[in-house]
Amino acid sequence: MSRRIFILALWIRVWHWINVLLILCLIASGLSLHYARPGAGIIRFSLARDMHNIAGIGLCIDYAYFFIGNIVSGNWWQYIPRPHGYMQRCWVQFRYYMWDMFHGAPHPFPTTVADNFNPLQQLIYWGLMYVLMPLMIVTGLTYLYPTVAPDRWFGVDGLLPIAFVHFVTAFLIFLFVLVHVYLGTTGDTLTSKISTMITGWHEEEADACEPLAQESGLAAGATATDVSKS
Amino acid sequence: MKITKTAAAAAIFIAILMWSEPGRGAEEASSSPPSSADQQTKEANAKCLACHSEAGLNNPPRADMHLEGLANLLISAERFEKSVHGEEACKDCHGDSYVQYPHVANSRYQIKMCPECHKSAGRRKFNEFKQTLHYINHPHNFSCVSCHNPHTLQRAKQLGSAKRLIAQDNGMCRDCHDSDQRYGQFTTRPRPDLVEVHKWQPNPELHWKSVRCIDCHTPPSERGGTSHVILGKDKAERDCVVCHSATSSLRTRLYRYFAEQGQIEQAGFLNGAVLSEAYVVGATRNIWLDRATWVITGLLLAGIVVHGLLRIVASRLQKRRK
Repeated sequence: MSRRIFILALWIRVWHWINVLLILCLIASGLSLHYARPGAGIIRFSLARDMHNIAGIGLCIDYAYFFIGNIVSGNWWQYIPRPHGYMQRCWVQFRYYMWDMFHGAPHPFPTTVADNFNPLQQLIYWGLMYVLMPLMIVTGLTYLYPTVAPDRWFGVDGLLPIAFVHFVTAFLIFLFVLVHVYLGTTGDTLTSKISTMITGWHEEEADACEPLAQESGLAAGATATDVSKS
Repeated sequence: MKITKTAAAAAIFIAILMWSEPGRGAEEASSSPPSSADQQTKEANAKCLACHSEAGLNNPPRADMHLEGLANLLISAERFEKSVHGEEACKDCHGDSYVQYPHVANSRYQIKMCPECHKSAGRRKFNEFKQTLHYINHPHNFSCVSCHNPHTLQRAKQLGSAKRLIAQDNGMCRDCHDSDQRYGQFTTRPRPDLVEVHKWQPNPELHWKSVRCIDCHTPPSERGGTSHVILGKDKAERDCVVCHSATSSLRTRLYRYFAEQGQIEQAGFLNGAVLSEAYVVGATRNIWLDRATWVITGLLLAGIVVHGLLRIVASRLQKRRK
């Protein structure tokens, strides 16, 4: 028996895949700029500069699209952790990734329409979209219009602290991408989560719906769009 | 006359007193005032500057001066004293025939040319300069002083910062290349707009505040100084990574005049001398931060690989049990 629910509206999927392209472009061009050297580099400096500028502006637009779409659709609620017992639920999810999943245990917090994300996802995605991305955008725009930065800041060129924040934030996002892509393989099959991100439908075997979440007192969500097949 | 022992002792005592008592000359030497030669130079220059200055033009000390001609020959005393020739006397270059007024006719032909003092460097730089379009197209209109104002030019160390050096050195180029009037004195061709010809470069005006024209428009000098082979637009540097890289040429060009910043370099930043004034993409990164990112990335990838292998093993074990 499998369970199939529609969880991702088209606008979210479009936003996500545009983000994928832009962030990959920004990582490649950003590395080329950071490690620029004469001779062979990853991408020629002048091309990397143009790619980074254009993709950066694209990311700003895409982020605005996400921000507004979240508000209009009400999807912003997905990113807000439910505070009661939150740390315990995070621990349950972490233990699942580090131990329980090797023993065939089901996902402790099944995906529902009300709760698309497990507790760790909520925390990481919230941090990514509402802390790291704004930092990325503000520092990136300062690079684009460097006269906005103070002439001197903390005793050095005003752009240096901006560059530091930009680089560290970019690195954290890069780490997120690595983990995100890998954890995208932790569905029922290696590609089921990627399929969800394309089609919007989440599908899983019914026996995977026995949550360990009862430990944390979190009830599994069930909604009108929940479709079960026998 | 017989000299008694007492008289001899007294004479010796008086002589010792006279020798050890500080006189006016000894006082001057001990407090290091300007030498008399410096003082004479200043006094002599003051006589020239009494006329050849804004104050002299506005309040001519003599009634028989040609003020219209004088207006083009004004010197700022303050800038001159700070310049590379600030300790020289005017007549050292302009000759004795300018000491009196009215000046001797044709005195200007006695003005020393730069190579008369700047011998070997002057010859070398002039030979380089002869390869440039400035000289090839205008051999009689260009000399050292066309760009290097001997009354105001300051050394990098005197200026103290790259930004001030950039402003001074770029001013030499922009005085003509950014002025239709000055450019028109040399050629009838229309003056190319600087921003237009540099539009291949992102934010050219920001570049011009951060780097000198000659840092791109001259080849690297083998002797380490600045070459005087001014390159036209076809041969000027266009490769961004010449500056925007760990081996940035800024270290050996613009920033060679300024000391390495030990503290910045100890903190792991590349090209500390550059970073002390300007952040430059690709040239001023921090190697410790970079290494930390490699280590963390390596550990994460290793963790992902181990986790993935464990999943594969666990999955196969479960299938066998089923």
